[in-house]
Amino acid sequence: MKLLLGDNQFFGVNHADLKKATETQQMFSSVEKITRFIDDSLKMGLNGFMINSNNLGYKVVNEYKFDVKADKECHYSVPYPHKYAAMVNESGMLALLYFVLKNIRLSDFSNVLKFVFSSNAAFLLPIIVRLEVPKNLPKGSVIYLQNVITDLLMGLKNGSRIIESYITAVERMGYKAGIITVNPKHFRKNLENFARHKNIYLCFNINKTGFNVFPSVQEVQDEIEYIKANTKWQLVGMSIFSSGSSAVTIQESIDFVKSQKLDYVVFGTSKIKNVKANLLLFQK
Amino acid sequence: MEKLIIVGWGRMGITHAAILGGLYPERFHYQVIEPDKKIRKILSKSLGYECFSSIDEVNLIGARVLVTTPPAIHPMLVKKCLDQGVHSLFVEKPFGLFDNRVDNDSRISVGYALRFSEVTQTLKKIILEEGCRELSLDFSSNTLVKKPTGWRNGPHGGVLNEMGSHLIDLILYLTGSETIHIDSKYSKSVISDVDDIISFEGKSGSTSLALSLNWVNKSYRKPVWSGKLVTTKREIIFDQQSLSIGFDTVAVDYYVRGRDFSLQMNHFVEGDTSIICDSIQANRVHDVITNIKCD
Repeated sequence: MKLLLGDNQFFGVNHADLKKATETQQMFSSVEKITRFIDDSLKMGLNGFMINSNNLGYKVVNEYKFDVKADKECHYSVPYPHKYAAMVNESGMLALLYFVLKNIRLSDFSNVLKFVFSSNAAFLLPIIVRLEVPKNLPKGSVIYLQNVITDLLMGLKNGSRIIESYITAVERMGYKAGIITVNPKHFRKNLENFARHKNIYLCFNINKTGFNVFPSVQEVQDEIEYIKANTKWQLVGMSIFSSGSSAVTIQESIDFVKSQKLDYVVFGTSKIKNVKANLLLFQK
Repeated sequence: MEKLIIVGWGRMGITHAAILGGLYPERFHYQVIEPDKKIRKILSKSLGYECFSSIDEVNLIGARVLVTTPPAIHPMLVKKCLDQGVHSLFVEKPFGLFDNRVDNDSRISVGYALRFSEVTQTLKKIILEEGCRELSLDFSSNTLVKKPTGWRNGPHGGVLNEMGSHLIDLILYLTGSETIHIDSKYSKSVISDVDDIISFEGKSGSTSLALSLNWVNKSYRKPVWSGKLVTTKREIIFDQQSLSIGFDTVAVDYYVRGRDFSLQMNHFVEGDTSIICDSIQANRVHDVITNIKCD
């Protein structure tokens, strides 16, 4: 099981404690501070880090000195949903389309033409992904579709086809396709036929207390078993500490996820001593 | 398959459609009413929805209808739906406008989603047992970064209408009151030409109230509502995702934007009125807003 450093602490995200979220965000107000924490965590033994394509995250990855020999992984998630939500709020649904069309390059023309003739938004996906991915991100890294987008698309009629287009677009760019979802059972049911033999990285919530685990811990555990037996997917567990719930100890949380057939676990913390402590518990 | 009609393919229309599709994968045949020709074309070609430009083009009899349009046309749409015999009708908040109201009808439920959060339900239960001496609520966000255009910068816009309506509904729901008496208020425009910051103190029944709204607060990454409840026995601090005394989460079969949104659609489809904001209650929110603005 590989261990990844999460990014919630960098960007003020805490699903259970909003005050704590704001406090930790203030600790990581610059690219340098985030980069230093990532470097320290990787030196300590973590296998890589996960980071979102918001303004700060994009800069961190674009300025990061990746050491190919070090065998450390970057798991990058797109898009930054608030940016697009604000755009829609201010100027309506078509603002998204105009944003994409304003940012096209020569290499995008074939997809734009296909969109113009078909009105199928799936042809715009490669352009959106390209806009969100920094040039410095090493090929072979994993690029995840954020859960807000995945779960929105998956609920819509034929939305799974757009997710299929996303997977194809990312693979064509030389990266590995990742999906973040809080509905892993639905994802498996909808995408199994298309992606069973693809090297998909599927990231979802799993923890002992069932915090934001949908529809239930047992059903997600059953999915893990099924997916490992029937697909080539790499499974990535997130929210493993139940967002700091007092109902369960760190030791219990880690023992629980270690008992699952997960390939990766991602956890966030704002303290480097916690990285070390968690690493020791995972290695025990 | 049962018919479900979504009127208005904006942010909320898409969100509700996704939640319904996830919760009830095979149950509904969807029809979308969207006046914008480009959006209709992209929607039908990309996702395969059956799209229409006007509500007059679809058969409404027996259908479940979601109205997620700008509020000014709520009264006209709701009347058409009810006159033509819809099964039930979900209307996004705000429910019409304070000067362009929607008539009451038992088939209507209104999208005040905060009622469905576990935090709200836990507070409601405590208040029923222990009473409510004081209730203070705060909404802070960095929603408005530039001056809005159109109706958002007029009498139907502003933080009180757009965000405050949620918290006013929450106050009425938690205290079980029909109105709010205002003792003092403060209002300020910062970016828009209407209210960007507003606060008031007052009473709802025997409960002392304080409400503070600010959607131009740059220190917030995303919108946050929080508050304090004082009962006859204790003081409880809460926000949208935590409660100082803890709470039990409710399992949902499909999650897009929050358990409250999934539960809201669940209740609407199943006709479960154990939690609902009906049209009478939603219209009371307008009365309170008018009261605050004119006081």
